[in-house]
Amino acid sequence: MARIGALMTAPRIEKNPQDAIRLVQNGIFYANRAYSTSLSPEWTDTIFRKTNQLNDGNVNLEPGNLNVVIFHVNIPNDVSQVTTPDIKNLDHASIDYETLVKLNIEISLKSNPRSRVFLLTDNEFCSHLKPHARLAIHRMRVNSREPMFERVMAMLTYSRSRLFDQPTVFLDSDAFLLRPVHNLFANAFDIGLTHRNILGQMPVNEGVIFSNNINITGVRAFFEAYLSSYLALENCQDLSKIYTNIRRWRGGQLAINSVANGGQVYRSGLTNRHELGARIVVLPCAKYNLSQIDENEVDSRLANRVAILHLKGPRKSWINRLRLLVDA
Amino acid sequence: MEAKYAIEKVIDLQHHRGPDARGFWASTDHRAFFGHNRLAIIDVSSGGAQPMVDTENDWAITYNGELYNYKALRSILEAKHSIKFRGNSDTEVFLYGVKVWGIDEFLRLADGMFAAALYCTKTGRCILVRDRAGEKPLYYAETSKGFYFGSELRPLSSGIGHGPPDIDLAAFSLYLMLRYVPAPLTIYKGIRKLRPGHFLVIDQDQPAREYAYFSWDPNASEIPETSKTFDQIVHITEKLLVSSLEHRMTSDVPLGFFLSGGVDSSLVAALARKHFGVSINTYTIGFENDPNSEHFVSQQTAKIIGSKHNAKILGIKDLGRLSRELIHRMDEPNGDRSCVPTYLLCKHARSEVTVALGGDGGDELFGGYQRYPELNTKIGEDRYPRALDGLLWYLTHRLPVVTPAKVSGLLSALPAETIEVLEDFAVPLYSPSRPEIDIRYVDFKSYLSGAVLAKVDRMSMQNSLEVRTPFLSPSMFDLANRLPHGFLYRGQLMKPVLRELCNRLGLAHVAKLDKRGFGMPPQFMELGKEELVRRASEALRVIDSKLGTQIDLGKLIYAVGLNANALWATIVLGEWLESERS
Repeated sequence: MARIGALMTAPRIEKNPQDAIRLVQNGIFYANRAYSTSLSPEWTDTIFRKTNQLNDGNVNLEPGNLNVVIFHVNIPNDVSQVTTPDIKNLDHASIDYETLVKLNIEISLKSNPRSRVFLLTDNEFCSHLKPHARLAIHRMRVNSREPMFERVMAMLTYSRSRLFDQPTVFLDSDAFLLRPVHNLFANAFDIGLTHRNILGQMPVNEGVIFSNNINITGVRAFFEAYLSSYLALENCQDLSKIYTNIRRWRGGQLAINSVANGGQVYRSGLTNRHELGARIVVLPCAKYNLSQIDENEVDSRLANRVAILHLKGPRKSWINRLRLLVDA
Repeated sequence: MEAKYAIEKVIDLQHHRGPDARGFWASTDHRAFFGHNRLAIIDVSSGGAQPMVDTENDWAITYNGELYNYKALRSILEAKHSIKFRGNSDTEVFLYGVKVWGIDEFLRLADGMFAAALYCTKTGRCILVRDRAGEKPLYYAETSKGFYFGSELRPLSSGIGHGPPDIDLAAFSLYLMLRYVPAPLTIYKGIRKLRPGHFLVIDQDQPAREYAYFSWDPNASEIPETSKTFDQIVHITEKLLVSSLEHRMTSDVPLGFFLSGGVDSSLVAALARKHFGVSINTYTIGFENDPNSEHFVSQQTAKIIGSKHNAKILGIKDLGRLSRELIHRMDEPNGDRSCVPTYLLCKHARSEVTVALGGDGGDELFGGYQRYPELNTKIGEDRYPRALDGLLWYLTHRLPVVTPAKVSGLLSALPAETIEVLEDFAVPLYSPSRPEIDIRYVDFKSYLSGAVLAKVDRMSMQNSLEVRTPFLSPSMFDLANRLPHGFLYRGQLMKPVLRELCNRLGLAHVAKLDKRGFGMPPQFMELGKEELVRRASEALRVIDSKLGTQIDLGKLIYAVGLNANALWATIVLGEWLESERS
């Protein structure tokens, strides 16, 4: 089911100093047009098989009131470099994801003492992770050359699995849960998304997604739309001129903006999405997915006002400050 | 042709909104019809007549309000896009702005108060849009015969229907709690209000889709609270207010200023006088034998700033009759007790000017309500993990009309849509929250547009007066977003930034005053309580017969006591419903 999105005019692809803004505008335009809510039978089968795989995993964790799900796979060296019109010279191989993820798990377990952390990953990543009574590692068959696409599949798979028995927050490997968030789930939403209100950046960010467990059908419908919109975006020829492989990079961001009905301008509030049977709340990144701060603001007071700190891009080097907070 | 007649009827019925001219437009395929009542303010010539179409006949617009930065936008459209404008109106800039930039980008750039409809003849797409704060109203109805919209509820309802529609029970329950019906609901089932900061897209043979383009939320931006000093913020506030004033003083017809005894309107008038050096007219009303009447303070203010002041002193003996007449003429029930004085003030100002500037929005942006302090402890996360529960506490203890629990009791249960609306309002209070700061965004989203701005628009337009609000500009929103707690409250002192600005303008007598509502005089509300009870009893009889409820006066008083807010809200709704019969 396709629909025309929020942007009314055809995108204008032209070179000017506002290239980044234009790129995002075009991305949103294509994303909105690609919105789709249902998967083909083949993809439904694939997800079914993956869900069974996840259900078969041995999980015997302490009971908790919150699930934290982190997806990460090792990206092969030959595809680790990302060069797109909006990302110049990012090399995943230069980032120590193992240290990041370990710290992320540690912080989640500490800041939310009744949380359980699920690391969804490949067969090699973090092979020497210290066991914890509230930590489960699920090693999945994944195509690590397409990490962004695999992540969306993993989220849908999780939402359909028996693991999804508590309110859940999905985190990027560099998004850190600083304070207890269980109370957030007392509110009447099914999916919580975060909006980054900066021109030139994709508005809804996929690095943090909250999912309540009251209306599981609605949550699953949301993630199904997320994946099916992703697949629909692959067929957008105009988009393929900008991004050569959206399964590797950018497709997740575009797809979540498609499902969120994303617009560049911040829109808070709770929306009942009848076609999904889900209530989606849009929350500000300033509280739930903060990245625009200075390093010296990363201190013990930050958790008073911010639930999740996202060390995007070069901010990953600030983990030493986070380390100090954990050790304090 | 049925649609055309319906629109003509609506235009006739809302003549007061624009007595200077009226116009109609139909698309060549007769799928779209626009009508317009014109209150000519900018480019009063026929060059600003509406509905307006662009030179290529691609787009048509009918539009109510003002685009304050139209000159700047026009310059860009001329320079970068080679648009040749035919006249000097802001309407034409609105039209080409949407055509050239698209609705999203245009709305990002626009500073104004507006409700507009645009139709693209090429695609058959219609777009309805409402300004950021909700200064101008926009109602719509999707019916089996077509999609209708208009600036006022009752004319729209008359135009499309064959009698008053049913009352919406969710809207009714919200009215009892809030004294107004918040968007997207209206008191009528089947007719909705476009929410502030939203636009609606209607394509042929598809259900309308609503999009938000603005939310006033301090957390929308990741830029932290300001690190500027209090003095610097006072200075910046002055600068931004003056800039906003400059835009809002553009008018080709006479313009004046409301001047109450409060901080906000005093600042607006004083800054206009100080920075633009023009002679200004100020207007106020007062009531006889009321020692707290606003006109005492405003007279002193006028003397200091040097305005030509026009105070009208009214007796209270006619207020009963006047209020009844006004309620009958209200477009949608609004139980705010300041509707009657606001109406009288607008009528008074309209005798000399067509545009007036006021101080609305200052309380929400700068933290002016006495009900805000202590909310951190009262509705904080520790006490109410669920934001909706915190909001219900706020409605029960800080804005008591009829409490949600009592409404639930009176109606057996709250309709599901009532809860949905309240849950949406509660989002800014989600954990982690600082309720004393974040509650302003709840009030901005609900009370400001639903009660305050609706009152100002309806009471002024009843008198064919346009009211503009310098506090409600995008730059003021940005500034207020970043104010830390200490700049919003200093002990029991509210709005310290604006009070300090008053001091610097020589208005210390205003700066030191507590906030007072601009309501009916106490002699009317308190001494006449017996009369209010009688009117409320009558009103409840009408409400019960119309809605099939069984809320008699005994039940109401048992539920809320002799609560003046509840009694007045009941009177307004009952007498408003009664007026439908006539």
